[in-house]
Amino acid sequence: MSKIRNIAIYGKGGIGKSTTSSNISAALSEEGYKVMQIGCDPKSDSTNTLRGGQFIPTVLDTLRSGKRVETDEFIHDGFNGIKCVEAGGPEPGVGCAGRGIITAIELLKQRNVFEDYSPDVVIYDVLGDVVCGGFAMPIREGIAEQVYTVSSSDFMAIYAANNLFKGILKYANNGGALFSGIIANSVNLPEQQDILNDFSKKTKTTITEFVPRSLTVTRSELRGRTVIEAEPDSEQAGIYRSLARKIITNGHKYVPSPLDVDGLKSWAQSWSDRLLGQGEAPGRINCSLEHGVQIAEEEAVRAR
Amino acid sequence: MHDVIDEKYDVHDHFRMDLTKNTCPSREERLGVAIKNYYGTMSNLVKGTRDKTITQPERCFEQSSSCSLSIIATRILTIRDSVTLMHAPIGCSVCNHGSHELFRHIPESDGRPGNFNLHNVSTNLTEKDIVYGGTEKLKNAIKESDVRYSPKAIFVMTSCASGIMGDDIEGAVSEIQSEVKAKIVPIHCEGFRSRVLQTGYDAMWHGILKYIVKKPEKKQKDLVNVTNMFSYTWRDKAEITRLLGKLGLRANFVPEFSSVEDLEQMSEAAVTAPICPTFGDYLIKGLEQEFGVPYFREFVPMGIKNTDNWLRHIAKYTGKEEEVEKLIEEEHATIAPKFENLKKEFEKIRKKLKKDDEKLTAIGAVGQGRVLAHAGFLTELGFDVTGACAVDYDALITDDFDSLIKDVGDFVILISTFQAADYVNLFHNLKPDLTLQAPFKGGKFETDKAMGTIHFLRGDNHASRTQAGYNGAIAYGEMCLRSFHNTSLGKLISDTTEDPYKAWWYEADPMYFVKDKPEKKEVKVPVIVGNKRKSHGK
Repeated sequence: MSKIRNIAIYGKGGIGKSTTSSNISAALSEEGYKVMQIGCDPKSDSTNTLRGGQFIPTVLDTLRSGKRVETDEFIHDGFNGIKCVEAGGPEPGVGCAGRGIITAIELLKQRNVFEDYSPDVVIYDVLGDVVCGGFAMPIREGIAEQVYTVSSSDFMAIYAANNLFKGILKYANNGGALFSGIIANSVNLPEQQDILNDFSKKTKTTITEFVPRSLTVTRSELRGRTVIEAEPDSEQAGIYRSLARKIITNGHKYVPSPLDVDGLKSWAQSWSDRLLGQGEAPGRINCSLEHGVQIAEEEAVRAR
Repeated sequence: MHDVIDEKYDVHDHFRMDLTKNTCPSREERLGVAIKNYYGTMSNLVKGTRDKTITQPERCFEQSSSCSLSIIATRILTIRDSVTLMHAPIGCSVCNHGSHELFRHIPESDGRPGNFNLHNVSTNLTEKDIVYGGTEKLKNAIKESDVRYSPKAIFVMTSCASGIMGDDIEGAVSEIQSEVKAKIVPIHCEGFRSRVLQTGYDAMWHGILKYIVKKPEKKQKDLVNVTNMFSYTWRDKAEITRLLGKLGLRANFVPEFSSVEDLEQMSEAAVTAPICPTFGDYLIKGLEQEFGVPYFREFVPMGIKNTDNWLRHIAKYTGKEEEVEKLIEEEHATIAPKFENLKKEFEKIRKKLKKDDEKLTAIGAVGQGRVLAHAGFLTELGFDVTGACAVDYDALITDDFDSLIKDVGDFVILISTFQAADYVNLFHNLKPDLTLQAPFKGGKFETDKAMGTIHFLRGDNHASRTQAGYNGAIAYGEMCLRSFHNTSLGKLISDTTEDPYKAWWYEADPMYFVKDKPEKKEVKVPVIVGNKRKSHGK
């Protein structure tokens, strides 16, 4: 059996991880790779656009029945034969979603799913920040080897990426996954590129691809499809294909240098100052926590 | 190896353990059928397992039970030159406290190690650790254990708390291993991971197989691994040692009171002979798969016939076929008259209590492996086995149960994990002449009939407390006899305590607290068709 490429894609909620993951999976499947995508998010919508907008029974849903479950009950075929898996998890507000991820991934390993299905690439689409031990599971020893993060130039997304770097740093000595690049998402303006470039420089990381915000994505997703499937000839599809190719050829992995709290704060402040200096920036780009707080405080005062 | 067993094994898929993984699968996951509640006939249980209609039932009420962690921590704790490090809130260690008391009274002349200290350390996880993660504390505790006790092995026992917050145990261990001399052995035994306690044993053996057992340097032809001895007692260990000694063999008792070297050398043994086939299942299969050590699991050395067969199997793998026949002959010569006497005594009792050729009835067992042992032994003594109890049941033993039915006839079985009320209900319904119950399992109850004990305290070193081997057959038979001669305990309980159960419970279906029972039966005692008993329920 050839070596499986195990790739984890992290990022803040709503930043476009699932969109990006699914388009990468779709693009890789077009190239002839056997792909498995595993959604590690209790929302369990990672693979929706690979399955025409359909939800699939999650690993944890099937476990609930108490009966012995067969692997084909939670592994479903998606676009172009992509194997779709959703870890699943509890309803919002109850239980422990992190433990859910651990339970689901342990089950996949115990069931020798990777040996049996022998995919060339496994993509773990993991919720947001490294919020607890459970969400760090995919970057521990023996699961993913390479990690990408999806981030926009928004401060909170960068903050989440920085936290992920901390998680990687923590597990790096124990044989955990290493970092391979930032996927810059929803980046249309030069300033946004500058911000991300600067952040990547400060954290000694690389940017794999800039993906612009595009209505093509919106249109495709409303139809329950990836861009690759719905609008294969679009410019956006080309960008995802390029991203997928870069990911599959990129074997480089390394330990990032996350900024500490003060470092991140002063970095954000410096960008706030720069953009404020440009005069027009604050209305267009919201990149600074400090600035956001300031506005919020003003709003709050006004409300009183 | 195990030639007969595998062929007929159609109830579980051919499991191959993978020691590169952090831990074992749960019994439920591995076997499909692994349950903690059932009430019905043995034959239906076997049938339901084979056609996979038996599922894990949900209870809506359950009294205190045990967990994968506590059930193995007490065993691991006894391993010489080791530290048992509980990565848990302090309360998870509660069962470990009794271990000193259980064994301290045993004189050194009876084999208790002079240096008896049991090394138990806990990371004492608190609210702060659950919030911030416990691996730093764990690493410190490992280092501290290494310095304080200079052990050969440190067993890191995971808990529900560490499992839920997702502490990266393997990561912490691989990071710290180079800094300590002891071998660190993570054992993933979070209590919530499985509802079948025996998953804990599998987790224990997985860790030991993965981290401790060495590649064999040489084969030791006279070494016999005997697993999970302390399902029995200290005195049983002496009996097994005696019998194997007569064959010129040495018993390598694991894991209780074994040294780390004993565990390391398991790969060099001639054969693995379990005392309980399912507690030791993961180990015996692992030793065969990884190191080619053969095993057998069909017999448990309890009762005369079973002991004969147990020894014969050991002899087969150690080239002692002739010696064993001689040994069996010698032993039979000594104990046969005693056993005949016992049977005569029971016959006297039978005549007093029973009409015509009706047999005395008995219910025994506590673990599923012991069902085999008890049913065989009680039948040997002339009893009719009315029923059995087992704390859990899984597909590992289905074929053995099937053979047992052919041997001694069908009977009722109650699977219930330490639910004393369920046992009481069963005994009330079946009204056997002799009930056997276990210490610590809450099974003592008022009865005017004979009540014996399933097993004695693990640390019991008195000769009358033997169950294994030939001396065990006599001693245990005598215990059963004493139970008939003196029924004061049940009466005393009856006279001095209030009945903890209301009348309705005695009339209730033993599966009353199981939600979504497949069928709500009026008849409490299952009807056994074409066999010795009919229902006497209402």
